[in-house]
Amino acid sequence: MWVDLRQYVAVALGVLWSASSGAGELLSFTACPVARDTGANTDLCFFTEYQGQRYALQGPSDWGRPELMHQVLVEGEVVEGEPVCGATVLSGRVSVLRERDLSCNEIVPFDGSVVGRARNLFERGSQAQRERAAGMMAALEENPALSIEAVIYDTPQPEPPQPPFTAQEMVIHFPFDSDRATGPDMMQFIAMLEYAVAAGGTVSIDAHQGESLTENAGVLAERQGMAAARASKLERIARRLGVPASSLHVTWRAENVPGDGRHDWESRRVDVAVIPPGGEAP
Amino acid sequence: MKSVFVKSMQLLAAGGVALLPLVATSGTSDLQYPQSEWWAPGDKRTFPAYSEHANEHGRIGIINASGAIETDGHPFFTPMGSNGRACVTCHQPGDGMSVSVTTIQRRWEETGGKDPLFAAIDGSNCPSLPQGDKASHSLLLERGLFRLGLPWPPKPYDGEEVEPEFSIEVVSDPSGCNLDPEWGLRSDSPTVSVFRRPRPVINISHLVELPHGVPPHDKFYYNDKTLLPTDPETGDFVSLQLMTDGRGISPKEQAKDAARTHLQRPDALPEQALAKIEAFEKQLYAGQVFDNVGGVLTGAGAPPGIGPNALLQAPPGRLGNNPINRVFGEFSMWEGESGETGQQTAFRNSVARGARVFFDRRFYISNVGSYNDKGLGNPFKRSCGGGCHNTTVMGMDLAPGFMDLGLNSWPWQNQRDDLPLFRITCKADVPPQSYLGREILTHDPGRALITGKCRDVGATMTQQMRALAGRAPYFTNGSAANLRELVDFYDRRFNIGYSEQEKQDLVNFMRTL
Ligand code: HEC
Repeated sequence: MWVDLRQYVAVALGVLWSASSGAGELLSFTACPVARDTGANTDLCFFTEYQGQRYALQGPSDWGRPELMHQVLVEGEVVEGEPVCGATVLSGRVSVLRERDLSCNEIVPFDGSVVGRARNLFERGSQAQRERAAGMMAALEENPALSIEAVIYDTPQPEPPQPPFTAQEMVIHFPFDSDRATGPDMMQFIAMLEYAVAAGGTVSIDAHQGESLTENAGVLAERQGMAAARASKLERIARRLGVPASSLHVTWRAENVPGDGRHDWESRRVDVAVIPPGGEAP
Repeated sequence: MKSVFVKSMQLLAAGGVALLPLVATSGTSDLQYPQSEWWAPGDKRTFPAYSEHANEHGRIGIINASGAIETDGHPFFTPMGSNGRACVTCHQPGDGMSVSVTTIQRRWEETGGKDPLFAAIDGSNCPSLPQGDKASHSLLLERGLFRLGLPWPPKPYDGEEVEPEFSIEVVSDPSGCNLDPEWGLRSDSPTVSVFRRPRPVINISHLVELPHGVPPHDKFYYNDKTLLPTDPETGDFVSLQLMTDGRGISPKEQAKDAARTHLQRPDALPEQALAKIEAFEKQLYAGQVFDNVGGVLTGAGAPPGIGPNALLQAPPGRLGNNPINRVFGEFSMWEGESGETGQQTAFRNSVARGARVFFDRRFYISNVGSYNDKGLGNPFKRSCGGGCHNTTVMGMDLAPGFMDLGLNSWPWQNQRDDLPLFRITCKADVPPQSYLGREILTHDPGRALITGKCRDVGATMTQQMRALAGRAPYFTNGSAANLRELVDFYDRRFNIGYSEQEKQDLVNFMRTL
């Protein structure tokens, strides 16, 4: 019972924090991440402290979680809402800086103030798969052989794209100084390539790199050649997945987009477009 | 007998479980090899559809799913090169299709070191050493390690030139081979010699399967979201699970390489032989079936994940780190009165507890290069099975899991004075190894010898966890003489704090796989 109570207190405290750091406030800073233990059966969560405030460090799925031994670059906007990891929530992006900083080494032991939720893998499956998994779970004691049967399945192949074909676009964002995109972004990229091939259209890939103007560490500029690396990586994927060279338009901007401390993460991106034959760029 | 057997195998593969006892109880005597027995190249034998082979802790069962084969003339069992070895020399049935250090030592005693197993090329610390001396074979005799000479700079990989991000310097060279004028890094064909254990040639069909249900990772390498390499023959993406450093793109490419290096065959193996080797490897399923203390491990009422049938039946390429699969399936049936004797029951109870420690007991996985930095976060708090050993019934990392656990690179408590030590210096403008920086001391640069990437230095591929009982020592560089030392390594490296009981339970659990 008292555990529930403490969670309650933590939530209340968190609300105080987020209230004190005005929603909409823009932030851009570098700091050490702090790992927090959230209980025996759950993963850690990460937050950081900046100017007396705690901010949760989270991001899109497979974006790249914070790492001790490295600082993070935090670029975001304070959002209203329940605290995460006992800290104020930001929208935006958190990038692990690839140079080492051995002073980033703090783990907050489990103290009951933030209790993680145990997740399991098949939660992300379809409704039918989840139901099957629940059924297997229930029948396991009776029939333990089920425990070595398939629980994780391939997602069904989407229907092949059909005409009329229209222009498509997507933006792929990247962590600072990185050409690693997320798995979900790559799935969408594959779908676009398949669409382009089905439509006989062209694919344009336009890559950028940028600077971040931070409050506490000056201007951080991405390494030279990042935009080219992002472009060539996606180009290679497009070629290998069947887009003919003649249908690919790859460009990149070698100079950094200047930072102004407002959503600078958005300039670390690749714009992808598919233009069907005779169509116009979106 | 054969056709009935094969038919029942097919039924099993189709999901039937009623026939389990047919092969699960330890077989009839004509299928058993009562002692760990040396399979010499060129022996004329039958490799039956099902056989059991004694090892240190009991017996391993091997299913040869397409039925008995004659080894006579079969390219896996026949010397195909110039040094008298065959594939089977280093991939022995009784040793889980690897070769244990016990077998290696016995072979030395029996042949006075004349067996082709000890061939100078890689069965000695360096071919330039006096071959009659035991000391020249110390790495093989003491740690079960063969020499692998890898070209430096790397050859093109997956059709692309590799431009190394680092330079390599030899800091110490106990084998003498890295500084050797003929064989070393400064020779006419510059070569880095590293020393590795043979990986088991069993359950290969699980290893080569692309991951299911985790798109886009049936096409993409998890770490950096590049496309996986493709098989030059078929153009299909490959799982990257073969070999310590992933250089064995496909079973055929691997076999070509093995024939050229281990068998010293000057020309390429003919296509027919390659196809036969691949087919043979892909239909072998193996796991422990009998434990000297725990008794018969399979059959009615036993954990379904034990024994070769589990490998035959279970779907390959699936993440098993979920509450149903628990990677190796359910073990709870061994939690109560489950043996015929008190000793058996105690062992089985321990195995069941070990399965829980393996799957449930989380710890901080920290500073593992090429792992924590692939998006998972540092530290990542997982158990053995929930973290890296996550593939259903196999226990390798489905990702695929190249990682620098701390077995190769300093400063983790693994420094070895019998292995070469290299200083890797990475260029200033490339991303560093995430936790060791740009100057790294390592016994084996691992994956980086193939990709040339600084971030890959020291990273080696997780192995399957089957048939462990017969193939000590463990880890790629043989640093754990037994399963207990293996558990102790993890306990130290990750500050886990396993109790004595938990350690013993984990050891017993692994003995049954
Ligand atoms: C002299 C000993 C030796 C001989 C002979 C030998 N191998 Fe190996 N094998 C090894 C070693 C050592 C490794 C691990 C190499 C590494 O990881 O870099 C290995 C790895 C393998 C693997 C990879 C398994 C895995 O899980 O990654 C396969 C498959 C294999 N060998 C097949 C063969 C075939 C086929 C032949 C015959 C053409 C053969 N081997 C001959 C020592 C040998």
